[in-house]
Amino acid sequence: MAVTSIVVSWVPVTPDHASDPHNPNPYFLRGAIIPSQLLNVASNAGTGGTGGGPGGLGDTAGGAAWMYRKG
Amino acid sequence: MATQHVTIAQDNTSDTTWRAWGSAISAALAALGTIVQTSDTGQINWATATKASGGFEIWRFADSLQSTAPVFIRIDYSSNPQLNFRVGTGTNGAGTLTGAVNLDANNLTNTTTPYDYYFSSTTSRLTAWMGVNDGNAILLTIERSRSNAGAETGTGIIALYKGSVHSMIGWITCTADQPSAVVNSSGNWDINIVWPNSSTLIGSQMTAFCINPIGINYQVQNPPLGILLYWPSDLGLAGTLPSITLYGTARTYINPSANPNGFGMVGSARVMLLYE
Repeated sequence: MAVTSIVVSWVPVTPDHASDPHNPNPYFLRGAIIPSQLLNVASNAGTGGTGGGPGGLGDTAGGAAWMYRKG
Repeated sequence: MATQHVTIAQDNTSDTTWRAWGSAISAALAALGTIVQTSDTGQINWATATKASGGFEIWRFADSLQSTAPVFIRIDYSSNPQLNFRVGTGTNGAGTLTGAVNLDANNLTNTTTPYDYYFSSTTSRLTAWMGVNDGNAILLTIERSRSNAGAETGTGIIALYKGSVHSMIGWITCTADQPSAVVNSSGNWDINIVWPNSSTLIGSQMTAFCINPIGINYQVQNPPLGILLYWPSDLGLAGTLPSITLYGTARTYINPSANPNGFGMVGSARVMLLYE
């Protein structure tokens, strides 16, 4: 089936560096637009055999998971 | 916003063919009409340059932030043929960048066959996919840092760069009262990205993934626009892609090639390039 729609998964940094560049400890991923499918995938990523990053970072409902993958 | 698609023979056979290659890249950058070549002394003369000696050009952004957060790009053209990109916050007027990160040199395939080169730009962004036809393609985007609404800021410069040998994510701080340290990596990209371990297809919908590089104070940055990654089997190559909304704006991307790929990601990610 041809792809007719491409959505983007991205991670907005909060608080914004532009408004608060001195903040050394930004909280990111608040409200990230990440489909629930990806949340599940990321939560399982650490079990992979190819060096997947740490498991998803828990958050409350509406939050998101993330992984850090060093190449 | 501007684009250029040119086909260039990466032919290192003679000085004449080498000049044809390099000058075609230079001409494409000029034809964008966005970034500006500086008046630095010592820049390459495409009428007389030799591949043994090589040469360089200095380009700069031309947006309203350039006066307070300047961005300069040095391109070195060498034999093989080879390209080397550097990004900095100033120039000494003779081709030496200050506050610079060296994105390093990558060789292209030496061939008489014309290869595809795609450039897209604004006055504050340079995005390129050069020699896309094989594994030695060079991928590049140089952009300003962004707010989480997508607005460009003068905090720093982000450079994503991938070639056959050297790949790097560079960050250059433009804010005077902040650490000037440049964060970069070589060999593979060290990136923060939400990445799946299987196809993202849901019916006819798929998901592309932004890259959140590390920047000032080693903090994760909002993503640049120029390069997105996707699960390789989700999308055929070189088709017309549906518009992709990022930071609330619909944008045009292309995926003419499977190279470069990998990026250290499970499933060997492929790339799409902002082309507008």
